[in-house]
Amino acid sequence: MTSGVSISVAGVGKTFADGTQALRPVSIDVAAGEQLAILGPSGCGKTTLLRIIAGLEHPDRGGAVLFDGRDVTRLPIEKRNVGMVFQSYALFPNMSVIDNVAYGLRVRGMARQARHAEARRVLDMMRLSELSQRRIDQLSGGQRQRVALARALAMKPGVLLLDEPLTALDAALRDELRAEIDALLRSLEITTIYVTHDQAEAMVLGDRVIVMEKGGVAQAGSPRDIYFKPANTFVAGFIGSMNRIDGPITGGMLACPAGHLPVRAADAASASVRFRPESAKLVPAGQGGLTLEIERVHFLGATQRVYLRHAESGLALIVDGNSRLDLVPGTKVGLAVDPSNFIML
Amino acid sequence: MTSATRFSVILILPLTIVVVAFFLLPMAELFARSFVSRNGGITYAEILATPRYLSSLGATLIVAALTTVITLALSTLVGLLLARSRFPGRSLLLAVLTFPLAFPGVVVGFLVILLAGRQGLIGEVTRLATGEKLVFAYSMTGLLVGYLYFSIPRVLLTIVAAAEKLDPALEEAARSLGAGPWRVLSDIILPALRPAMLASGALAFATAMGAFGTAFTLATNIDVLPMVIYTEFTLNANIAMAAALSIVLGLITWLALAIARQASGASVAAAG
Ligand SMILES: Nc1ncnc2c1ncn2[C@@H]1O[C@H](COP(=O)(O)OP(=O)(O)OP(=O)(O)O)[C@@H](O)[C@H]1O
Ligand SMILES: [Mg+2]
Repeated sequence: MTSGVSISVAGVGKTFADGTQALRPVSIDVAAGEQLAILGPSGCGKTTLLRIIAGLEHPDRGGAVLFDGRDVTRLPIEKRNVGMVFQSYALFPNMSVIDNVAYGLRVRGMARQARHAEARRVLDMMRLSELSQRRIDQLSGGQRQRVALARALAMKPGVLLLDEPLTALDAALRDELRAEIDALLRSLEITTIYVTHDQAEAMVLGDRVIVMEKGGVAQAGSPRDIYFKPANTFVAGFIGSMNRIDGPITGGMLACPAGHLPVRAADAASASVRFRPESAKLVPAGQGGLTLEIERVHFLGATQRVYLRHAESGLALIVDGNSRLDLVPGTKVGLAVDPSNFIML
Repeated sequence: MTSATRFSVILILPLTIVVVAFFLLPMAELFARSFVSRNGGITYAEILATPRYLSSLGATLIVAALTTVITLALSTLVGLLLARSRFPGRSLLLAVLTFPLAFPGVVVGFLVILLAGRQGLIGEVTRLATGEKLVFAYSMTGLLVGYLYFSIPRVLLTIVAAAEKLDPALEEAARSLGAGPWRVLSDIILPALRPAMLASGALAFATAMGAFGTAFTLATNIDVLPMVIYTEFTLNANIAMAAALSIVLGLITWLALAIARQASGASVAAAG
């Protein structure tokens, strides 16, 4: 298929007629063929940004959208050759599956036989061939989702834009389709922007992830960077689970009511250190820097999540660890954290 | 008889009585009386042989069909605009548009005379502008204007309601696939509105076929079928012919409604 176009979003902001500032001016570059995930809480402007890139919404004055260096800011969506997948799928109820998939080619004026042949090829690729004559209301949610993707791909778009395409599906199907979409997109090398509020989706599908907060970009980076090196407290709190301990640092030691932890940081009267649940280790009480009580244990199969609590100060921490370890709530344990695993913000 | 079936029989009994007494019996009587004409012939054959009846039937069909087509075209256009725009006073406008629904046909006829009658508004304006008075209240056009006046609000409101239920993403999806505004209209929006258009259009047709008050008030030179039935019945005391014409009128109207129900039912099912 076609290789994708590069996208450049330059100083794009959006204030709606009612005064809502949905987007503070943002600038984003997406390389040709890159898979970009946009992640953020509800209302942070993800859909608005995607719709501006698609051409369904105009940016405020001064903002520009470029495809392969060409300014498309004033070009309506029907002239941009973007494929779109909507959360509601937006399949045409008055057409069969194959006519849905062939619709874009029909608009382009391709003859019926040729466009159906092309649509059948895409349906084959998505393993939907048996459904080609079905009506839309005869499809399951997962099938609708795949038809919506097939319809967008049949146009061989340079850009594929997806707005929470899996949100309406149940968890198991979501995992399955996530893997399927990932494999498909990588084989097609289309430039893809994937909007989601699901971290796992963003991490799996994004070569790069942009985390948005309140109409702005909080951080842009690889999934690893976003996870291990969050740029600010918002990203640290939003992605994954995060522990936080507050206290003064003196001589490379952080003091807190539950004990002391060695840190690589300068002295400070008050500081916050953060670490992921999986970067701490449980040790026998008395060993390690901190001593806490096991409050609850959630067995998750491959791992287990241990909720620790320091009764006197109320300090609560979580630790993910080996699920074969048999832990009894109420017992005291020690906690050790390698200083290299601390995230200082 | 189990108590459950006895119970349902008790429930069904009153309905049966009402249906038989007020619906089936008069219908049967009308039907029975509609065959043998006053001169001992067959009424339906006489209808086919009498130019006055045939032209009345033709005129009625034409007025009803024109009313339906014009109403649907105008209402769809305006309905789509109204459904998509938000402006101050919008709900007031929608409420005002339902006003004609409150008028009986006689009042509508009266309004048409005020508008386009011999002393009408349009007549005055055209007399001042061109020296010629334009008067069309008593013609086919006047009747058409009257029918439009009470069919447009009904159809318009149905279409606004249907258009507001459309998922805006459908249109956006079509545009993302390269469709311009006209293609979106013909491929996506009109098919989605089809059930509403068929149902409300059929109702407009049926109403226009049977409308009496407006035609009566306008006292026109056009004989629409309901007027002919009235004349046969009251002035000529030709009950057989009145009955036969009523059956013809009823059958045509019923057929229009049935076709619309069939078509809109099928497409509603297809639309999920
Ligand atoms: N047409 C509009 N008019 C006014 N405000 C709008 C409009 N569309 C969106 N907004 C507002 O802009 C902000 C961003 O909305 P947007 O839909 O982009 O969020 P989102 O990140 O996609 O959220 P979600 O995850 O819930 O879909 C929200 O505060 C929203 O209420
Ligand atoms: Mg959204």
